[in-house]
Amino acid sequence: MSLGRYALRRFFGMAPVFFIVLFTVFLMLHLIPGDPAKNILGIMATPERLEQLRDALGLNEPIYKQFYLFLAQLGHGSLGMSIRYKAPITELIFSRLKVTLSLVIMSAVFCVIISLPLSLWATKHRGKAPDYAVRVSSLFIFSMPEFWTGLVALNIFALRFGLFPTRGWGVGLLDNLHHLFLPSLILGLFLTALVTRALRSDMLEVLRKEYIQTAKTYGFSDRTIYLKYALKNALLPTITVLGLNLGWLLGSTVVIETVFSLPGIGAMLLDAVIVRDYPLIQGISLIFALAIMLNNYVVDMLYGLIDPRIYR
Amino acid sequence: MHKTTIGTIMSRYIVPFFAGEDTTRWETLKNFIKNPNSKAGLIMIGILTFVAIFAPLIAPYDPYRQNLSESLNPPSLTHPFGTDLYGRDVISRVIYGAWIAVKICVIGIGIAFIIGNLAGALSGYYGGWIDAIIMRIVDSIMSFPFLVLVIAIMAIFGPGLKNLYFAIAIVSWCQYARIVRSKYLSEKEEEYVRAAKAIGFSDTRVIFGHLMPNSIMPTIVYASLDCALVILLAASLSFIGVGAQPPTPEWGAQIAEGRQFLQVAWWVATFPALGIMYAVIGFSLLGDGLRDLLEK
Repeated sequence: MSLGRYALRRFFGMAPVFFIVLFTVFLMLHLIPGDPAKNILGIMATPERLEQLRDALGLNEPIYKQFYLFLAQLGHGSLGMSIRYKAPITELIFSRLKVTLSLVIMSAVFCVIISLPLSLWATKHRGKAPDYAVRVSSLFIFSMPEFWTGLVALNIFALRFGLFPTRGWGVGLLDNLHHLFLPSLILGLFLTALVTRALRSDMLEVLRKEYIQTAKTYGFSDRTIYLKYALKNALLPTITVLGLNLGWLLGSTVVIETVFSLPGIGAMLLDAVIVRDYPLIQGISLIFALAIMLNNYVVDMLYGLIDPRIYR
Repeated sequence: MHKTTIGTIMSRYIVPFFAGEDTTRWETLKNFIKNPNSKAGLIMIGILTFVAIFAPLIAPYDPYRQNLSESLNPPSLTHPFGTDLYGRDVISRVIYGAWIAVKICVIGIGIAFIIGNLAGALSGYYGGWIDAIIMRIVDSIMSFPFLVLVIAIMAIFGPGLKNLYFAIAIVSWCQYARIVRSKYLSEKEEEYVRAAKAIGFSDTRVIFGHLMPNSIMPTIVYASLDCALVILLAASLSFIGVGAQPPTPEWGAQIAEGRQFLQVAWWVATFPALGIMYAVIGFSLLGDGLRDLLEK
């Protein structure tokens, strides 16, 4: 099978999952115990307003028709109207997408920049002090809740020393990078700890292989052996760790954006939960799920590119 | 669990261990206890569970009792971890937080563990359309970021600890189902399973008596690591206000209460954070130790 056919087959294989995801998102409004309209507007709402909202959400139709309407609406590229912001949800999400996206990309970059050298350093000195230090510190970093590290970093670096802005989103590229530095570093820490551990153990495993011994007997330098022979083969499991944990990274944006008051999608989800804006909750959950499905697809394709044995 | 599963585990692991029989299984258990990772993890989780269960006896004060004249007192001999804004004793609240963390692990992960093992068994043993349906559901639940789906579930059913257990169980059974299924696919073709089928044992007996005891270990390893993740997750949820609600002495909720005073009263938020770190490190060490044991 060629890579192209593999890509196509994998893509259409996602269809049933996509459908169940849509149905799950649709159900979010209908699983609310009691009357969703009353739940959204509160017990003080007048019967007219309740009726109006039920009409707007389509709750008076039979359930199969509601699902059809939900799909038809999606087919037109719309996610409905937010109750709180009184604006189309797609517009709200797209206006905040850049914040969350840059946050996630920047923390993935931080993760790679920090974990690659650290794990190489640890493997080079395995069983000695650097290895031990890297392992212990990654365990500690893994164990620290992100919101806690975020609060501490905010208090020390932003409030006490004034090195970074304390909240919000800036104007222009440099200002934005300045605003994003601390949140994305904190967001990336958890993943950095995981990737460092994974890459270290994968490197150790690869270094035991026979072709590494062969390379050593040829007299290649350590540098060539580590970077050219070992690292390349240890990268595949590491991409798995990165890819599988993107969900954790995306979910954590809710917490990090709240701590650092960033106007991203995650913070908007929390807002929507607090004011019970269910259509907005549905829209944001769907966008997050689509992002992860796309990510899993891309990771699978990357596998195929790095190691063609997978799709043959 | 089926009685034969418990019987098999008893006769294979528990009895030889206490009877001191010189079997390889006893050797692995001895290795497990000697492994520095698992030793440290076992001791840490043992202490955590002990403190959690005996919280009412160990905690010096009632975690809910307010005393406004002692608001935000620094750590001292009478209050080793200081007091919070309402004059409540922080060490008592951290100790009761351990009880909540243990409950989240036992109930949330416990339900997920049972559902996941059963669903994975059905999926792996029968295959066909049962497998297709279960696995598509698993795939779609796992398409959502864990935290986002739990937040959505909490938004639907309302905040609070009980709903938190429920939400965690709904989302986390998937990973167990996947692990069990893949184990069954390879184990199904083994001689002992074929033999059991040839004798004419019922499907239930083959699954619970023969396959499950041989495929449960990877899920136990995962459960230990999952406890670490779920403690972090529950704390995050309570911190942002959709999990346990104040005045519940949950660690994340306590950090949320102390966040405004981090500059003037560091102890209110720091000690619950240390509690989280302690539990997470303990469970990850235990999980690492178990994994080493499994891979040997």
